[in-house]
Amino acid sequence: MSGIEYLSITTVDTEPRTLMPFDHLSVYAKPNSAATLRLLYPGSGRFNGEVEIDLAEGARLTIISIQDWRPEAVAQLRYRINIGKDAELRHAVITLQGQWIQHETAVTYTGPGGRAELLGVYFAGAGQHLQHSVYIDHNQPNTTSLVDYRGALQGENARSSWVGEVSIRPEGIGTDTYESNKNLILSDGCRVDAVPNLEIETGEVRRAGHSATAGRFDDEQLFYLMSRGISPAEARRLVVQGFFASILARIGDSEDWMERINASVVLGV
Amino acid sequence: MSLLIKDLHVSVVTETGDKPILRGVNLEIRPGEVHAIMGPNGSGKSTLAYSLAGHPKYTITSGAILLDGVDLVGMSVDERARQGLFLAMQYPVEIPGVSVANFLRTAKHAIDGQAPALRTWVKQVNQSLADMALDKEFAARSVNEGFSGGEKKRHEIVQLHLLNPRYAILDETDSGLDIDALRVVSEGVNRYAEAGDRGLLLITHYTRILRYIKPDFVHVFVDGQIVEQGDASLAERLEETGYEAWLGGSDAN
Ligand SMILES: Nc1ncnc2c1ncn2[C@@H]1O[C@H](COP(=O)(O)OP(=O)(O)OP(=O)(O)O)[C@@H](O)[C@H]1O
Ligand SMILES: [Mg+2]
Repeated sequence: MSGIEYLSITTVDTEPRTLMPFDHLSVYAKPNSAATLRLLYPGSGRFNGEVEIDLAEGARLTIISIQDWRPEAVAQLRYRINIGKDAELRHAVITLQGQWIQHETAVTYTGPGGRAELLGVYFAGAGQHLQHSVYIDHNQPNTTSLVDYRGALQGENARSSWVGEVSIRPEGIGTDTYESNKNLILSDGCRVDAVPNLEIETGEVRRAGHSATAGRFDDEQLFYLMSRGISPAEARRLVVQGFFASILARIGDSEDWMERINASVVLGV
Repeated sequence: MSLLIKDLHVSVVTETGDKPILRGVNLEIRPGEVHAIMGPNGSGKSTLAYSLAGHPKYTITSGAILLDGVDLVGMSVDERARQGLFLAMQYPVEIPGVSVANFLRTAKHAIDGQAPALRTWVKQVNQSLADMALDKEFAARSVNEGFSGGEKKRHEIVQLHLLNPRYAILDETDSGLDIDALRVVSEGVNRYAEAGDRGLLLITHYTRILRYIKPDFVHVFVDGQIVEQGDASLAERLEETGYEAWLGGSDAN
């Protein structure tokens, strides 16, 4: 095993464009390798991209997909991921804005014992529609998938659609899976659709669960913070920050994306 | 100088309309005084506490709240706190993902109008936690999340210490505390009051806390009003007689 490599790729240029580029990227993680790959998607226009990832036996790979589009961007992005025997994937999506963004992650296993942690953080502003879908195919024994997507919505017609499809095949004995989508609604006029779906074709799973929530800002939390002298804007920021804190800690990226999310929130308060 | 509550009428906002709870509360707490309020469940003690702090669920329909001459009624929750009012809550709220350390620093900054001095601040926080028999690791935990009932109460007193308000209302801070914690919390409250110029309002069901914290005045609270006042001996009498004597009379209104 080699040391951890850090590779950062900016996949599209930052200038607005009107054509529809198609971007295809293949990533192969060698047996027992360990690496972190950060993919940055900035800019505007229309974009259609696909990333194919193969993790060989025992590989450990972290992929961070940061969608930092301009508000008017329209983008479609697909990740197809194959996880080898005992390999570990951590896939994190951070979607900060965009007019209509579709982000799809599909995972299958090419050997037993693989593990996938799929994390998502998004912030939908007024008129923005962010779609995230996750497809996981537990087609090998003793595989694990943990899905945790969290988003905040603020502004008129801010919208999130989330789909989580987990299939446990007859071969998928000993599967451990949990998927969760949580939404924090910061203003009126937002819309949240969350569809977690679980299909189980074997009786022998370790765990199979899902949950989806969409909640308004908790006024009691706001009251508690304000009763300690903290201004409403600051209190909201703390609560939103708290909402994302554990997931961002797990992503563990060095960049200050939290700052960006905070900034978005403060703008709307 | 005082926390002055004048003929306070308060309704709670419910789905079916406003429901009057407080029916003319009069109370004056001067610096250095300890007041205790005792009263049956549902009589409106927490409503009084929340109304003073400015909780949006409660509407002040008439009356006044003056803190050292400043009218609090039109003020937001945070403004009231910055004026020097503190409420230790009966049910402290959990705030996932916000660490106690971050919360305390942000609150201190807000109350003082300037960031606390880095070097001394961490020491103060650790000292206050230790005083309340809370481990140092609490600073890194999320605010009240997963705290036991007693730990939440002790965390309220940590805040009382660090924010050091001019007037503090403690809503059943003694409920749910074990014998040792009750002593620890009482000593903490006494240390706060020790300055001699702080006003304290204790809402409680039990005289046991009043053995540690000596009240100058005891008020009996029934059906949204103070129906009797006395010195510390009134609490002892209540322990024996209960609220029977006043409950019958409250039908009058
Ligand atoms: N949202 C609400 N809807 C309806 N009634 C309410 C609401 N909030 C409070 N009340 C009522 O107001 C009354 C006073 O409640 P409050 O919590 O102030 O009592 P308390 O004296 O603090 O009681 P306890 O000793 O049990 O803490 C109660 O009858 C309660 O049911
Ligand atoms: Mg109460």
